[in-house]
Amino acid sequence: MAQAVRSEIDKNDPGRGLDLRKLGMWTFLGSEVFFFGALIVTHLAMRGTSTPAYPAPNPRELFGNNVLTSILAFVLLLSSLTMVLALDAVRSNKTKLFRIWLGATIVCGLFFLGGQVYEFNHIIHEGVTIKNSMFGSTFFTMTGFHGTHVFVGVIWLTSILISSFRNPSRYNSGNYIAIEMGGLYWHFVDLVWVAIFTLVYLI
Amino acid sequence: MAHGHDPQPGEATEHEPHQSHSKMYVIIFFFLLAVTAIEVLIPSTWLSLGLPKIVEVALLLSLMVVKGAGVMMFYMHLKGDRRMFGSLFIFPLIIVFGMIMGFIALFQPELW
Repeated sequence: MAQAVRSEIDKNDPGRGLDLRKLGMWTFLGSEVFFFGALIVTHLAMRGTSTPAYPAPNPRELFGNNVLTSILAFVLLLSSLTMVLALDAVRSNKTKLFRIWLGATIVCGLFFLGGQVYEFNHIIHEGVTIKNSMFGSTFFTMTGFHGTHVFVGVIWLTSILISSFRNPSRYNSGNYIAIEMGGLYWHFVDLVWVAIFTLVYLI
Repeated sequence: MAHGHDPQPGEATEHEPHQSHSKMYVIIFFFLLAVTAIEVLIPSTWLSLGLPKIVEVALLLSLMVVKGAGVMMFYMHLKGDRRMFGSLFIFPLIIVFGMIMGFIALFQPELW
């Protein structure tokens, strides 16, 4: 009997019981791990390269003892909390709370982007640009792509927030997959920053 | 089963009650915050301790792994989700972590 049921599931369900949307999202995130992994190891290999005209900078002096980046790490960690609380709220049918937490996540993302722009300006002001050294090239490429991912996440979450206002009954305990997908992406962005923060700024 | 398939996690029926885990998420956040604070303090206090650089690097990498695992297990819900999802994500992570260790060993000799 059990075997008959199993063969029926196998026959009719191409995902073998897995949610194909989540499967696709996790596959995408797995590919993103390789993408950011390549950028990080390139920076680790090249950041010590210097030329007589542009010697490799001392990262600790350049980043001002990591005061700003520590604040940004805190903000992104806080945004992960607000994101997971937004998902928890929508699963509990607390629409107002869901919007508050999602809005807080978007604000945290915007704060992070503002901080990154400020940091980029500071580093360029110190004489390190994307063109004049391997340190600058690899650093700006890596953190720039991460910032782009944060920006995409902010747009994604904002579109979810707007759609929840336009159609108040759209997201509830019976339909929250869009928030779960957006949340997975957002936590991944936080995860990348956990790695960059340690490998680039602290070590 | 109007659509001929079981409901997926994101489309659970309205009859299934959801138990809120908000307190646990907040506790995890403060744990991750404490780990971040330790991470930030390590480079600035390490010189005064006079311990080898490799110990500092190993400690920072360990704390990074702890933070990453916390985010993945509890915020991304890998703990308790289908094992296939975890495999798709953790397998690349292991490869990339190995690459990072290799590149640190090859190109950052001053760190160890």
